[in-house]
Amino acid sequence: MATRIADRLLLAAGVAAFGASTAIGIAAALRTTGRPPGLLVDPLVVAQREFAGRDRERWIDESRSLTEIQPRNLGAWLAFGRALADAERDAEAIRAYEAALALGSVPPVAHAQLARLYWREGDLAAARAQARIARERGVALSAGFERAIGLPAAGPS
Amino acid sequence: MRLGRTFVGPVFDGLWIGGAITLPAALWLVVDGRGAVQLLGLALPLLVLLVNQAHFAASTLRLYTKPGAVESHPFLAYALPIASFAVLFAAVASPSGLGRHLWALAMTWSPYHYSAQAFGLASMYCYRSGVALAPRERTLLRWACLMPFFRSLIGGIGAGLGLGWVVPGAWLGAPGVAPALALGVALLDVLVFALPVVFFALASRGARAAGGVPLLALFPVLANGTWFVLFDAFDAFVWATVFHGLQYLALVGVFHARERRATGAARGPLFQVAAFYAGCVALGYALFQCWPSAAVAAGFGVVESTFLVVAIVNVHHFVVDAYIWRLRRDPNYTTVMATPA
Repeated sequence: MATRIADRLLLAAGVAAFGASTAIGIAAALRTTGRPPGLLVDPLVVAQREFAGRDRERWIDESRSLTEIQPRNLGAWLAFGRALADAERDAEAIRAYEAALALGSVPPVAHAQLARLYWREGDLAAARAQARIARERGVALSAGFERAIGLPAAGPS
Repeated sequence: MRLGRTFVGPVFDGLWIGGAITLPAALWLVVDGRGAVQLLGLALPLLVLLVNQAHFAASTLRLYTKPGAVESHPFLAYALPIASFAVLFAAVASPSGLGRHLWALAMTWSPYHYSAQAFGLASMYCYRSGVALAPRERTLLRWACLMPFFRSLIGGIGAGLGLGWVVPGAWLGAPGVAPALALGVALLDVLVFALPVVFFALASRGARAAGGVPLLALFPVLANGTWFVLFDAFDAFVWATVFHGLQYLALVGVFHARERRATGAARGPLFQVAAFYAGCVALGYALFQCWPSAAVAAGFGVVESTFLVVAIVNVHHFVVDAYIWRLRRDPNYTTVMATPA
C-alpha cells in the first residue's frame, strides 16, 4: 500500500514537473518572441544571434558554457575566444584561442585573430608567427598591421 | 538466402525496420559529398523533430501504453522521470561539473544504444524466422553489433567522447598514440562489416534446416555500421540518429498497433499508428523545444539548457529502451512470434 502511494506521488510529481516545464517554456517563448518555441537548432548559433552584438557578457557566458560542457570542442573555444576578444578581454581571449590551437587545426582567420590579440598584448614575436601562418593560408592582412608587428611584406605570388 | 518472416511486408520490413534504406542512402550521401547541414539546410530541424525527437519520445509513450509495462517496471514509470529531472537541474546548474559528464555519457552511450538496437532487431528476426541461435552464434552476433560502438569509442577520443571522456588530453599527444588510434580505427572499419558477414555465414550453416539466417537479421547490423565508417563524427551522429529513429518508429508503430488490436481497440491499425506517432511528435516538441525554453526563462543559459536537455532525454531513452524491448518472459515475445498482419 505504501509503495503504491509512493508510486502515485512520484507519478504526480513527474507529471507536474513535465507539465509545468512545458507550459513555462511555451509561455516564455510567447512572451519574448510572440511565437511558441522554435525548432531546435545549434544553441551556440542561437546564443550568438541573441547576444553577440548587444550583451557581450552574456555571449561570453554562453560560449564559456559550451567549452565547459564540451571541453574538447575546438569550435567552442574559438567562439569563446572571439567573444572575449570582442569584449577586449585580450589575455583571456588568447588563452581560449591557444586552447583551440592545442586541440587541432583551426581556420586561417583564427590565426589572424590571435595575431592581433598578441599584438595588442605586446607579444610581437608571437603575433608575427600567427600572422605568418594566417598569410600562408590565404588570409589577407592589412599592410598597417603587418608593419605594426614587423612582418616583412609578402612577395609577389 | 531468404529475406525472413516479416511483420508488414518485404519492402516495409526490409527498408525501414531492417534499415536497408540506409545502404543506398549512405552511398548517395557519400557521392553527393555535402554534409547534413548543407544538404538539408532549414529542413534539418524539422526532420530532427519528426524523426529523432519523435523517436526519443516514443520509448516514453511506449512505456506508458504497452500493456503491463508500468506494472513490470515501476522504477522506470514512477521514479526515473523525477530522477532524470533532478539530474537535469543539477547538470544545468553546473555545466562544468555534472553537465560535462552528462553530455559525455549521453554521446558515448548513444553508439552503444544503436548497437544494442541492431542486436535486438537481428535476434528478433532470427526468432521470428524460426532460427534459434546457439549461444556461440549469439555471442558472435553481439560482438558484430558492438563493432561500431568500439569504433566510436576510439574515434571519439579527439572530441572528448568515448575513451576521450576518461583519457587525459595530454596522453593523446604522446608519441605513437595517434598512429595507434588510427590503426585501431582502420581495423575496426574492417571488422564493422566483416564480423556480420562471418556471423551470417556461420549461423546460416548451423540453421540450414530452418532455411538459413534471414537477411532481415543482417541488414540492421550492416546499416548501423555504415554511418560510423563512412561519415565524419558530426554527420555520422546526425544520419545515424535519423535512420535509427526511422527504424525505431517503424518498429514501435507495428508493436503498438498489434498490442492495441490484441486489447480489442475499436479503430484500425493505421489510426493507432497515426495517433501514437502524433503523440511522439508532440512529446518530442515539448521535451526538446519547450524544456530548454523553460530553463532559459528560469535564468540558465541557452547553451547549457539545450545541450543538457538533449543529453538527459537521450539517457532516459537509453535506460527505458533497455527494459521495454526485452523478449524473454515479456509480452513482446508474443508480438514477435505472431504471424504477419
